[in-house]
Amino acid sequence: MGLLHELGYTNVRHYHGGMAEWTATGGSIELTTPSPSNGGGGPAISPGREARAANRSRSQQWGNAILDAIESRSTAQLFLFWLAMILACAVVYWLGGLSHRHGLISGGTPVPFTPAGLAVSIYFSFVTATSLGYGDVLPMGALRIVAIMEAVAGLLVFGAVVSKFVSRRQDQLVREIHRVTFEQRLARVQTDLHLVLSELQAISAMCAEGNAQAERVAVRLESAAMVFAAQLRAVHDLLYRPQWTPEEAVLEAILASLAAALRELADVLACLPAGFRRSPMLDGACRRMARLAEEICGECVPRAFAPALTIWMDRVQATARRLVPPL
Amino acid sequence: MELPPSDAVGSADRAEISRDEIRRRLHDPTLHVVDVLASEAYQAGHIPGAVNLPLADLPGRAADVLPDRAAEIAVYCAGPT
Repeated sequence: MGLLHELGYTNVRHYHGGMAEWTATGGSIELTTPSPSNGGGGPAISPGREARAANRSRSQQWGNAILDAIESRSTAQLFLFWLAMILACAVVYWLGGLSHRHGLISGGTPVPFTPAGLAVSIYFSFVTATSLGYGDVLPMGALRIVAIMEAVAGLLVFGAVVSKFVSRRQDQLVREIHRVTFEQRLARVQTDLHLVLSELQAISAMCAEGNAQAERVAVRLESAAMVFAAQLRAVHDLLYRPQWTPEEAVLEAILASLAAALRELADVLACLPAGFRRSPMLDGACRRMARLAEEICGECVPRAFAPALTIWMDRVQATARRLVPPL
Repeated sequence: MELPPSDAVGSADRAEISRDEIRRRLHDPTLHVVDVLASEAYQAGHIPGAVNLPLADLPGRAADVLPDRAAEIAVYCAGPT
């Protein structure tokens, strides 16, 4: 990265694919919640902390990998896995019949390595995995260890199947609630942007007339800018962490009105009389917006969008730069 | 606050690091992985062990987060640039 080079770093290499490729190719991801101690930024590097973090993240990765594996499989797949595990164990018990010390015993006699013996092995495997444990067939020697492991694993996997089955309906409900909320939010962003746009146009007209009191213009502009900043944050969230992907046409409409409103705001700011001093609130809102919009461009958002959308995003970014006076 | 021109991100003469190398060296303390995305994007997900240094704060905070100018650094942003 050119900027790091300019700051004097000599050994910098660029990961071209970025976060998009990393996630698309299944790279593991770490999440952080903002911590008040370091001002929301990344942690400073200290060797001991880093080693501990690496250790923790390795064990976390293991736990996450198992949970992800259960999460990503369907109920039917998990159930089939459970069956397959029972049958695999049955084969092990059956093979145990080849030796005299590690086999199954049924009614006092060893279960032989024959088709009939396979049936008894499968029966024993099911009785063990479901933790029924009738006790009419007994494992000997090393098979006892296999039986214990099967009982534990069988309970865990079956538990996962049951919980998945139960939570399905709940998942559907939660997803539906999320979808409805998201759509409402989307609609609100659209109306609010429209209101901001017409408000800014009214202020612009007031300002162009020239005889309006600067005080009144300033107050109205201030409150419009605050609402606008909140809307820009909502659009930013929409692009950066969408819980749902909005339709491209909707997104295009939002981005277009965002760009129009930003242009209007920049025009209003330019039209203010030379002696006008921005209040801290207005200045803060403008800076916030410039910072957020700096991350709204075709190349910096985490997901690829249609060319028409990236043009709007680039326009949003370019217009927002006009909001902050050059230092 | 002066924001870097957007072409600072796309300068042509830069060395590249492959995804596989990053993956292989995830727990290598000598490789510092730097995420230049905004802190919200960083919090929402980043390469494990990566340090967050938003592009806009780079000039101000780089020296605090990466005191060693000769350290081996892998830097990434949102997507293919």
